[in-house]
Formats: sequence, C-alpha cells, structure tokens
Amino acid sequence: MALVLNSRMNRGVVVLSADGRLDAEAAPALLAACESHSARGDCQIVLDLAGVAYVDSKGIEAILAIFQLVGKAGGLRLIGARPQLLQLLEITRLARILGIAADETAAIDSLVGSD
Amino acid sequence: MSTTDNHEQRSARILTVDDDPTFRQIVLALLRSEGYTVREASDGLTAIKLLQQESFDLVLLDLGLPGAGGLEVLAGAASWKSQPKVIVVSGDTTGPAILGSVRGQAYHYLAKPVNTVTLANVIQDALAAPAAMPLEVLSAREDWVELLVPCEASAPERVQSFLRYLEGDLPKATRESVGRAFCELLMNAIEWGGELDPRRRVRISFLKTVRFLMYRISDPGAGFQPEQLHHAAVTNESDEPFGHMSEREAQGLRPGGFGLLMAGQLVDELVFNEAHNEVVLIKYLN
Repeated sequence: MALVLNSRMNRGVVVLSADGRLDAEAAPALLAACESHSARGDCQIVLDLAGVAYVDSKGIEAILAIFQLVGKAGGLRLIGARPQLLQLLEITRLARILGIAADETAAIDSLVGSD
Repeated sequence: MSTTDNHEQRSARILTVDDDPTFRQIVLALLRSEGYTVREASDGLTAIKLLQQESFDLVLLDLGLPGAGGLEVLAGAASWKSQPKVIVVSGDTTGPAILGSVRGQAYHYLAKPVNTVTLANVIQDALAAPAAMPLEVLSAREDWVELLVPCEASAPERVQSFLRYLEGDLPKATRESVGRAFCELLMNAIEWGGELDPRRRVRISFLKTVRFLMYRISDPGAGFQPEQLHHAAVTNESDEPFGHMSEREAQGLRPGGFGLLMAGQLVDELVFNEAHNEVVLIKYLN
C-alpha cells in the first residue's frame, strides 16, 4: 500500500508525516525525502508515524538510515509510533538509541529547547 | 511513481460488482473522484456479460451475488475479453470463500467493512503493479494451504491478504506477529532465494491445528551459510546489539540486517534446513 508523505516546518524543525505501509517498496521514498531535507540543511526531523499501520524490517532500516543521516548535524525524533512498531524497535534494540517522543511539542523541545 | 504512470492509472477502467446499492454508490463516487472510468453490476450474470463484452483493468468483486456468485464469475475468466486484476471485496471470510478466491486467481482480498482509504490504496497498488504471475494452488484445505508463489515484490502482501483470514479466530496480536514474521521470511525467500525473478517460485505451506500455527517457506535458491551472516543482527552477541553494523559498513551495505532477528522474535520457533533455503516458523496456541 502506498506510503503518503507530508512535510511542514515547525519552529525550524521538519515535521514529516507518513501514512500507509512502511515496507521495502516505500522505504526508499521515506529515506529520499529525508535526504532531500538534509541536503537543504534541514537536519532536525520529527518523523510522525501515527499513520503507519504496517512496518517491516526494511522500514526499520530506513528509520535507522535517517537517524544516521541526520544524527550528527541535527537529530531525529519519532512520534506516534504504534505498538507494532514499538515492539519491533524493542526487538531490534533500536528503541534505546532512537529518540522516541510523546508528541510533536516534546519532540521539538528536545531538539531545539523549550521556549 | 511517475506522472505518466499516474495518468495511465487514472484512465483505468474499473468494474465494480456488488448487490448492495449503497456500497456500490460509495465505491462509484470514490473511483470517479479519482478519475477512473467505472462500470457497475449488481449481480453475477450482468458482471459476466460485461466482462465478456468490454475490457477492464480492474474488477472489484463481491462474492455473495444474486444470479451467479463471485466465485462463479471468477471461474469464467477464460471467456473474458481482457484479464483484469480482481480484488475481492466481501464480508465472507470463511475458508471456502478465501480459498475459492485464491483458486480463482483473485489478486487481493479485502474484507468488508472496508474503509475508503484502504480501498483506494489497494486499487492504486494493484493498478501500478505489473501483470501478476498466478499463484498456483497445491492444497486448499482450511487447515493446510500450500501455494507456489512467484518471486515478485508484491507477493508477500498479496498472499497475506488471503491467509490472514484463515487465522481469523486467533487473537489479533498473534495474527499480526505471525503475519509479520511470515512476510519477512517470504520477502527474504523472494529477494535472495528467487532473486526477484517472477519466473521462479517459492513454495509456501500454511498449517493450522488446535495447538499450533505453522508456515513453511521453501525458496529456489542455494541457501546460505549462517556463519557468513556477520552483517545480520541475528548473529550479534547479547552484549553487542549493533555489532553487525560495523560489518555492514565495511561491506558498503545500508544500515539494516534486522529481518531474521525480528522474525525469530515474533514466533516461538524458527527452524532452517541444512542448506538454509527452507524455513519453518511455528507459533504455539493455547
């Protein structure tokens, strides 16, 4: 099922929302979108995964690749992760290195500091 | 997806077959708003007549129809003017309906009630996918399904659209875990064993008993040697959860290698044959 991506800026941070399946077919599009933001110097990204109903290992790998892409220059935060995704992040032990925030405000605060 | 692809998809001709006028009207409004050319039928005999006289790219087919049922419509595919992909959209999720649809070479199965976003996505994906090679049915018992699946990237989701309903009486969490593990391993088999060559096929078996649920996946490749999987997370020592990442970096591979680890954690047992081109995954019930 197609992955629909929408991005907007909030306090200088890219908020990228994904809807659909994050699988082998869709993972390259998500990574390409983040590479595009990164190339423009927007290296702080909040990835809203509330609309992602299915994720497989390729999707997990894409998230990890984004983390490595923006990690040094900016940062990545995940919000809206469903239980299925959280379970996979626990299994792969990525939950301990990826920044998982409660909501968009908390995610952005952790990236740029609270007002 | 390119603009041209989108344009070609939007000019696709779709036949929707359903005896529920309300459902038909919702589908018609949805498809027309997306720019598709749509025809409709409220019974099986009208659908058969339209399929014999006109060309379609896609059919949305209910099963419980007056005149001739959906499975009868599918059975007559050889006499159709074109060979559209068929998405079954039905409230019937019994074994005979599911397995009859697989035998009839339906492309995908959606259980009612279905939301319009899901329906639109499945339609878009089906139209975008290349002409699918058939699923060959070797056994179609509700407790023992055996299929030969072409090595196509779309196959795991397609197969799972049918098989998930045969697990319908299990808790949702169990179904989701087993389904994800199965899709991971089937995609591995298709990608690595079958090299994404649709002429090659993966043999899958689904067995369900009172005490366990089992999938067996046999791919056409030569297998692999586990001692050479240093780039996979499954080989990491417990105190080095990301030890494989340096190996991947050295090999110029993208971050990843989590598929086998995930699949193994989502079921109770994961057993490979000696060559590692066959795998059995088991989930114990009760």
